[in-house]
This record gives sequence, structure tokens and C-alpha cells, in this order.
Amino acid sequence: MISIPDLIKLITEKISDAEVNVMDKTGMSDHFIIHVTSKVFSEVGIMDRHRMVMDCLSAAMADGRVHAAEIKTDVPG
Amino acid sequence: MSAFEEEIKDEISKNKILIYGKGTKAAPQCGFTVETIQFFQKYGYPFEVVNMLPHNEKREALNKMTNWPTLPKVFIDGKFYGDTDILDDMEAKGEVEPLLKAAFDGKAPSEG
Repeated sequence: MISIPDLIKLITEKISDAEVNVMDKTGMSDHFIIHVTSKVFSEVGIMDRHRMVMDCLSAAMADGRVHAAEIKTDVPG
Repeated sequence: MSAFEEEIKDEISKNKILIYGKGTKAAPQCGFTVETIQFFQKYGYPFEVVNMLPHNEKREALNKMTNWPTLPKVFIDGKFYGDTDILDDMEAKGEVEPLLKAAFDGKAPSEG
């Protein structure tokens, strides 16, 4: 279980300009759809973008706060 | 190279479409594994599922090999493509169908 604000903080701590939209997929606060928009993604391929986002969540995934995340990434504008 | 890495490399080379997931093709244990199975069922090409739930050490080896912490993990023609988050994006750009066709040497799904 993790609150959405805490989840967003995990990402913005590492991707400072990230705009993060989170949807709790099952209402159990451990399955999330996460949209991350950031300039840093512009020269990064989709797989590495996802690796970056999962890296932000690695601790929360390891201790079970986040069970599953569906990740979508984008660049601003 | 660990025994697990060799085992994984062998599996990847023997299956043109391979899903490492939670549960089996007949009894998937996780929503994302189900989603990935359904994703490939649409295309009609043969694929296999490797159940990683009982194999923690092998799963760890695979995580290191791919630098990707989650399951399911998809390999097409020996190359790693992440999961349906990636494949859905590729599908939206029309990249999946040609990729699968090339993996099966230009054959249509029915020709097997």
C-alpha cells in the first residue's frame, strides 16, 4: 500500500521536472497506472524510459508497497 | 555465465515468442501475464510461457540480464521487449505485426 502523493514523490525525487498522473487500478493502492511526462525522455527510447520510472519505484516494489505498475511515458508539448 | 543464464539463453533461442511470467499458459497467476498471453493470442503465432514463480534464483538472473525488475518479460526472436506497456506502444505504431512476421520468416500465422 502506498498513497498516490507518496508514489508521485518517489518519481519526482529522481525526475525533477516530471509531471506524474497516477490512477489506482484496483482501489487497493498497490496496482497503479502511472503516466510520467518529462523533458528527460526526449532522447530516451521507450524501454529505457520505463527502466527510469521503474528505477524510481524499485524500493517500493521490493518492499511490496507497489505490487504492479502500468507505465506510460511522454515528453511535454 | 551462471547455469540459469545458460538455461534462459537456451529457452530464448528455442522459442520465437517467449513470455516469462507468473503461472503457466493454461493457468496464469497474474493479470499482466494474462494480458501478455492475450496480446499474442491475437496474432495467432505460436508462443510459450515459462512460469517463473517457483524459480526465484532464475528470476533474479533474468532480472540482471535484462535490467528489468518486473514480470512478465517478453522475448521475440531472441530479443527482449519488456512487457505489454512496451508492446502496446509498438502495436499502436504498427511495429508488432512486421516484427512477428519477420521472426517467423515471413510466414503468416496460419502457415505455422
